[in-house]
Amino acid sequence: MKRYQNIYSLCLLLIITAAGCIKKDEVEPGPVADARPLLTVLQANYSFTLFISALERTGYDKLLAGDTMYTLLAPTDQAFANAGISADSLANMELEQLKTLVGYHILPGVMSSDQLPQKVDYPVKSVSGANVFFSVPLPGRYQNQFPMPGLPIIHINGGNVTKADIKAKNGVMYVIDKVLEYPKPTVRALLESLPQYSLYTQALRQFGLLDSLNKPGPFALLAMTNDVFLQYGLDETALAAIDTVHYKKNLFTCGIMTNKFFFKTDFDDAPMPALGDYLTGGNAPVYFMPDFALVFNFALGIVPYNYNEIINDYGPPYYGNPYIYGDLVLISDTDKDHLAVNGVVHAISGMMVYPDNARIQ
Amino acid sequence: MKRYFLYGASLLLIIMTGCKKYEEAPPISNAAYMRVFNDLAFTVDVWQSGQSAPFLTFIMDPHMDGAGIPDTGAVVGDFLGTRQLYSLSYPINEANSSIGTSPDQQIINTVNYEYPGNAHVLTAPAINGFDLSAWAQVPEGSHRILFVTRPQDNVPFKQLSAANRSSILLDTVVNFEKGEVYTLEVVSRDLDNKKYGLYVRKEAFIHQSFETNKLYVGFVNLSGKRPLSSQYDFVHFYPDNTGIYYTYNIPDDQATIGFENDPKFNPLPGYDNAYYTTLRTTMDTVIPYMALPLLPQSAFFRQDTLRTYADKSAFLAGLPSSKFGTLPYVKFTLADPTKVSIPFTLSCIGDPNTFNTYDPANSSALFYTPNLNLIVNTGNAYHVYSTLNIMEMIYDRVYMMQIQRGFNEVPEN
Repeated sequence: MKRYQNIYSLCLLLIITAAGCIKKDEVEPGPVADARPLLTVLQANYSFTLFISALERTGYDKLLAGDTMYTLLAPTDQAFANAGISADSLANMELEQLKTLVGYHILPGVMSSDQLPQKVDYPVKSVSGANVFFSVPLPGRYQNQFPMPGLPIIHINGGNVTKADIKAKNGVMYVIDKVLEYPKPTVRALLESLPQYSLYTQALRQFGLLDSLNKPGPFALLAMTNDVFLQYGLDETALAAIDTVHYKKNLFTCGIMTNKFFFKTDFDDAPMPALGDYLTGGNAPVYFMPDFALVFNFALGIVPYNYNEIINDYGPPYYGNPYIYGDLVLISDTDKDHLAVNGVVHAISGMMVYPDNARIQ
Repeated sequence: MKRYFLYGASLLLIIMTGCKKYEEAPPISNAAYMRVFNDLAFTVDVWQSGQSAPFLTFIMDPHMDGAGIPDTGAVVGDFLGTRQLYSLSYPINEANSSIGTSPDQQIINTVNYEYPGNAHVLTAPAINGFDLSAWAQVPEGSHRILFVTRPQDNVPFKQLSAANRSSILLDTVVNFEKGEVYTLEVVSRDLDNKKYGLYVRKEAFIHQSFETNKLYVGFVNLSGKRPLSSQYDFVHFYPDNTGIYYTYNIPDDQATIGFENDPKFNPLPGYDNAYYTTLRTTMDTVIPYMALPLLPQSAFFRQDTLRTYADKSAFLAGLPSSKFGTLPYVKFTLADPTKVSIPFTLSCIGDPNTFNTYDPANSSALFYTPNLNLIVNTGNAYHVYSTLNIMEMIYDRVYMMQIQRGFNEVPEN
C-alpha cells in the first residue's frame, strides 16, 4: 500500500511539474536557397529562349551569372509572342533599345514577394533606370482574391506574375506573362508614338492640352482611339473643325485624370466598392474634375455637377443615366497600360462627352 | 483501483499540460496609463493606388535592427485595425482571440481594434469610480512612439520583411505623467495629401467630479482638412461650425398601441432640440461634458419587462427605420446653424452587445450609437448605469467611447 502511495505521489509530482512548464512557440526553419545563379535557373527552363537570347545579345547574361544580387522579371516566350516580338525582331532591334528593354526586367537587389509592401503600384527601380510597379492585392471587404500562402498574386505593370520567388544564389526570379514596355519620357511622347491615338493627339493639340502632358503628373489618360472618333464621324478633317471657340474644353479634358496612376489590373487588386455598398453610406468612387465628376458605376462615365439636385437631394446624385453626358465606357482589355514616366494611357470604348453636349450655345 | 487512478492521472496530465501559461509581467512602478486607437477609416481603391490600407503596428520605445529598421520594442501593439464604432472602458474582445471576420474588412486574419485590447498586459486600476481596464500600464516619462503601416496578414511584425517594417507612418515622442490616463489616436490631418498625426488626450475625467444621477456626454471633432471627396456634400463631412443639439425621447406607450413596430416618443420637457454647443475647433484635448438626467429605473421597464433596443433593421435597412425599440434614447443633431443644410443626426438607440457587428461601410450604423444608459445584468436583475460618453467626430462618423460609472455598486436611481 505504501508502494502505491509512492506511485501516486510520483504521478502527482509529474503532473504538477509538466503542467508548470511555460511553453514556447516552435521556430520554423527558413527556406533553403538554390545554389545556382539566376542565369542557370533561367537556362534550365525551355520557356525563356527569347528572353535568354535578348540577355545574351545585350550582355546582361554575365550580370545574372555573377555574385551581385538581382531580382529578375522573366517574360515567357508566349509573352513575347503576345507582344508581337519574334526571334527575328529581337535580333533586328537596335542594341541600345534592346538593352533598355532588357534592363527594365532586372532590378538591383532582392525583392521577393514577402518583401513587397501590400500596396498597389509600388515602384522599384530597374537597372535601366525607370521604375517597375509591383501590385500586391489589398485584402479588405471589397477584395475578391486572396494571396494564399505559397501562391502570391502579384501584378507587375499590369501583367500577371505566373510564378514568384524562384530562388537562386544571386537573387530571385518572377515569371511574368507580359513583356514590360519601357516607359516613354512623357505622356505626350507616348501618345505621339502610338498611331492608334493620332486623332486623340490631334484633338488635344487643337485644344492646347498636349503640352500639359509634359508636366510631372502623374496622369491617367482615358484615351479615345481613332476607331472611337470614326464611330462618331470624326475623321481628321471633321476633327479639325472642332475648336475651343465653339466647343467647351471639357470635351477632351474629361479623360485626363491628374494625380492618378493605375493599371487595369489595379481594379482587381484594389477594387472599387460595389454599387450596393456606396448607396448605403460608403465612400462613392468619384473622381472630381473642375466641371465633372468621373464616376465608376461598373463602367466609367462623366456626370456634370447638378447643383439643384445636390441641394434638394442629400443622397448621392451622381450616378444614373440621366446625368451621364456621353457613353458609359470600359477600359480596353488589349489596348491598355501604356506607360510613361509621368503617367499611363488606357484606351476606352466610347466618348464620355459627346461633341453636341460640349457645344457652346 | 490502481489502474483507474493511473488512467485518471494520465488524463489529468494530458489536460493540464495542454494549457498554455503566460509569464507574469513584472509590476510597473510609477505607471501611467495608455490606450491606443487607429482612427483611420479610409478604404484603398484603384484611384488611391500607391496607398496602403490603414492597418498598423504600434511600437513604443522601438528597437532597431542592424539596418536601423524597427523590429520590436518595449511595447508592440500589432495588427491594429481601424477601431470599432463603439468602445467601452474595458476591452470588448478581451476574452477572445480576435481571429475571424471583422465587419469592416471581412478578412480572415488577426485584427486588434485597440491597444491593449486583448493583450496580456497590466492595466489601469479603477480611478474616480471608473473601470479603466482598457488602459495599459506604461512607465512614466518620455517614450518614443512609432506607427508602422503593415500588411493585412497574420505575420507578426518581427517576422515581416525589412521593406514592410520600414513603412513608418508616424514617429513621435509622448511624455506620460505618473498616474495620468492617456488616450492616443492615429488621425488623418489631410486625407488627400496623406498627412497623418497622433492625437494625445490626457483624460480629465479621472479628476473631475460628476453627479451621481446624471449621464455625461462630450463631443470632440478629430477630422482633418476637408477632403475632396466631401465636396458638394457627396460624402459627409462635419462643418467648421458644428452646432450640437439634443433631444431626450421618452416612449409614449399609449400612442404606440397598435403600432408595435413604430413606437411613438415624446421629448422629455426641457430636452427638446436643446442647444448644447458649437464646435469651432478640431483636435481639442479638453472635452466639456454636458449632463443629461439619468431616468429612474422604472423608465426602462414596462410591466417589469426590460424595454427593447432598436431592431437591427434600423441599422441594416440602408435608410433610417422607424423600428427604434422602446427604450428612452437621446438624439443628437449636428449641423451648421448658419446654413441651410440637412443635419447629421445621431440616435443613441443601439444594443451595445451587437452594435459593432454592423459594418459602417455597408449599413446605416454611422447614424446611430448604443444607448447612453448602460443596462447591466447584476445580481440576476437588470440595472441601468450612468455613463460618461466621449463622442469623437471623425470625417463621416462618430466613434463612441462609453465609460461605465459606479461599476462596483448598484445604482440608486
